[in-house]
Amino acid sequence: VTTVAQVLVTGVLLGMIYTLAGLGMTLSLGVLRVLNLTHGMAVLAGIIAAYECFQRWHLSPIVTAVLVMPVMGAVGWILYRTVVRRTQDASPGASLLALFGVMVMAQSATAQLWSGDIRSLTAGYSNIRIGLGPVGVPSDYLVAATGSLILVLAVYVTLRFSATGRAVRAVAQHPDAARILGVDVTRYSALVFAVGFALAGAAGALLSTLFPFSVATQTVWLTYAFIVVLVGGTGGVVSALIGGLALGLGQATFNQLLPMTWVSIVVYGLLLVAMVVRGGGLAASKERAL
Amino acid sequence: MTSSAPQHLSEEVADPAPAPVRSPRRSLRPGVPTAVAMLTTVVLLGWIVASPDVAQLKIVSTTLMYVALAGAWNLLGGYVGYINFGTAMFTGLGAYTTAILATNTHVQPLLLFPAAVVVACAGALLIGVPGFRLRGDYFAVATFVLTLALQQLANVLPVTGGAGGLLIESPFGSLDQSVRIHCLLFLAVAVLATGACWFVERARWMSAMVAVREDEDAAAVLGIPTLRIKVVAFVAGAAIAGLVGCLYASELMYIEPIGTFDFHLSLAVVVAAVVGGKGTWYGPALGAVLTQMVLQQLLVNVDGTWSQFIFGAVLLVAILIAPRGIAGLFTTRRGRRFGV
Repeated sequence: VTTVAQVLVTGVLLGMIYTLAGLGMTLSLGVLRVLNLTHGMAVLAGIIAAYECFQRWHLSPIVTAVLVMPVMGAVGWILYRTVVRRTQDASPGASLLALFGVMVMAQSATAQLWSGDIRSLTAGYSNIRIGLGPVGVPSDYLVAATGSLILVLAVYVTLRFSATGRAVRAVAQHPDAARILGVDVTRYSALVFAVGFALAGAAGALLSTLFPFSVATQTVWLTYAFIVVLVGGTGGVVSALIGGLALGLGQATFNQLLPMTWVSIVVYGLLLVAMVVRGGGLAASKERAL
Repeated sequence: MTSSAPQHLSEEVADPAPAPVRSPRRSLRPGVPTAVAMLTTVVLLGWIVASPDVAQLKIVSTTLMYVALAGAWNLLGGYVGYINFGTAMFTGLGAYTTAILATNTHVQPLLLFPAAVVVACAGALLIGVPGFRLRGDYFAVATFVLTLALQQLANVLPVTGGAGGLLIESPFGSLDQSVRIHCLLFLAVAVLATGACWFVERARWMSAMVAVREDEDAAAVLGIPTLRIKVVAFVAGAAIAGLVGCLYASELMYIEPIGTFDFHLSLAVVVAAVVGGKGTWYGPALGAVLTQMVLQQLLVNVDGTWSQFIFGAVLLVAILIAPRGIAGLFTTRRGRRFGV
């Protein structure tokens, strides 16, 4: 029973973190219908920021997470304006190929400037186990999950109850109709893309203490975000939460059952299963209501 | 059309000078590109047999490999409009099939190409049938992710030799002989792949493929078997990639997970096809030659990782400035031959 409880708790905590890591991709897909291949790099940028800030100024990754959001938001906004906007309505696949090019550029530049070594980060609050009844929770999981929860809730509330959120939902539902009704579609699209980047960066900073990282792990984060989208769908915060929790719980379970090297293979296998099960429902246009 | 169609197709165009077999429906003036391509093939053939320079043969052989892969990619990516970031999956499957069989049975690796093709096709079927339930962009990311999964799998499984890889005995006496023979074989596969595209453009189902690319729902409503078209194009491309994988393993004589399921190979193929012009039979070949020539220069002058950076930049710029590629510059002037 203790093991089960432990797995459940770890799974839910991981799930919160994955939700945040995947939320940006869910939003840009749901609203803009753009599959953001640079998402993994955005998460990695957050991780690198947390690492560098901690090494140089002993800034806690929590502080970095807050600081990194406007910066990544600006990067996302620029990327939208320069690349995504121009390719969005061109031939199918154009934005995907363009973002793929950006991803490769960013990855190789990062590998060159920051080296491809595997590193890890131990913050001041790491390595403390907090007892919750029979189960113990590592403190950095708790911190990261709490931070994720706050951000996810903030996005949910904004989308649901603010005028901006209503405009974004309108754009997601029907861009042309939204435009006719006076919504500045381009502006809100840029906003959503920027927010997606900011969330990815914050997620990266928060989870920097949990896993070892190198430049190559950006593909892992891209994959995880993709799984979150595939399992949960593109219906906004709730679907990201479903996808994230499913991934977190699944991974916690397999961590318990299998040797480490097989876990990633099982996760990829789950991706295939998700493809088969959800495939039909993903015919983009049907899933665009936030 | 059954799943045996690709084999049928490749038999017909295996001839180095592809000729229309059944009476065509489109006006079939072979035109300048065809003549240029045939002339190039003949000149190359002579050059490969005669050239004394092994280093140059090696470069040409790599370029031809990318011509073949870009042509194979084009079948799905160019005509049907589904982007595949996983060419390395199928070359990898072909290479590993060859290597595993060769180390266990001591058969000459090149003779194992049917097995490599069959395994690559099986892999494509396995991925394609569930994978094509995903539309467009999702499919592309799935192929990207699955490449990583296969790489990881090759790292873990005992039969692939894990991270240590597999060593194949060379069947050839000298390096010169090996390089020359492989260069010839790569030329044959390049002609096969480009010929397949040439043939497809003149076949009846070209219109169906383009219809799927332009509007899949409308195509389905018109009674086009969209899933079958996608899977056949995907499997045909995978068959050629598997063949390339067999040659690759046989030439390199050593394969390991990272270099074999190399995402950079998939990238180079996509860049070649996009820069050259996807959806035309000669575009990808043109793009492969150009990008490989640039890459060879870069490898001499620039550090390895930066060349990837430049590849990414080339892809981005090509999409922003000329989304139809170099070939698109000709076809637009001639009035959008195959555009709908």
